[in-house]
Amino acid sequence: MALKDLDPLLHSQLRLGVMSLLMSVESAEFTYLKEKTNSTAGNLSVQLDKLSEAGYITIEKTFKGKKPLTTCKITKHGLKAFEDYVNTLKQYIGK
Amino acid sequence: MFVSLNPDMEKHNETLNPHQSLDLITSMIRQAKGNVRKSSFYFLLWGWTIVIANLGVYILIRFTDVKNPFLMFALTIPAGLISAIYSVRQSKTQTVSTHLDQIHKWVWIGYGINCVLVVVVGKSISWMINPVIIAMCAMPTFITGVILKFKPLMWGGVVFWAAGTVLFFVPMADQFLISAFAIALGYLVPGYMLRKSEK
Repeated sequence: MALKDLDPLLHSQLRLGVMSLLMSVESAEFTYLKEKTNSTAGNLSVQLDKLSEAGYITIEKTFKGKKPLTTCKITKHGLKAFEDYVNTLKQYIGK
Repeated sequence: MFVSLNPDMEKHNETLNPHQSLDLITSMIRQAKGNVRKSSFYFLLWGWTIVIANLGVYILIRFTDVKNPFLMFALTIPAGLISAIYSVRQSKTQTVSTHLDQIHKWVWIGYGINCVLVVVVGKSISWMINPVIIAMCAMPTFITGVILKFKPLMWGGVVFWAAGTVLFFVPMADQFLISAFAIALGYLVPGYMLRKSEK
């Protein structure tokens, strides 16, 4: 059986990290994702935009007092992509 | 749009091989787990409120001829307000919300709605409000114990199931005394233990 290709959008350390975190929670703030993935704000922000453009996550920008607040959530589409990615991974590993 | 993955080649650049991918996913999911907020605050606030209200009603019935001793339960109104303010403040400091946090919150809100309902229909259930409320409170308490993986709260739930059953068979005035004991055992004792574990 031919191996399926891995979704390049997910096949990157930071984006995969973010998606795995969002898989397990209801929603997470930018600072939480930054802390857990050990990334820089600039890089994280770029990767979040990529995931959002693909429709994998939604990004909500609000304010907490005077501070800007960015909250991310995984979408149904993102969940499906993540599941497909994991299933494809299983094929690689099972081979 | 999709790329092939050659594990051997990938080792030499920044992308991941399948095992690294899986490790990453597992470690991130593990990070996100165990994030359920512990909060002994509600157990202590409500524990004391209900204990004082119940003891107050018992004392007023037994030793005075106050017309409406049940007004002691008006104490639950400020307690409800304090809970609401506290939870809004808490949600401002939290950076992540897990599914378990949501379940935890809604199990208690659901219980609160049930309590209001029981009070409203009090007459139709022969004013057996205390037995019903105490028995009902076993479930959210037990479930909170499961969510927090905190056994004393699970035992608290068991106390309420037992006390709820007993309450149906004792005279009205004694129900308030037993309820106060049940709440002290089921809320306050685990509440203080939880508080200790939070430090």
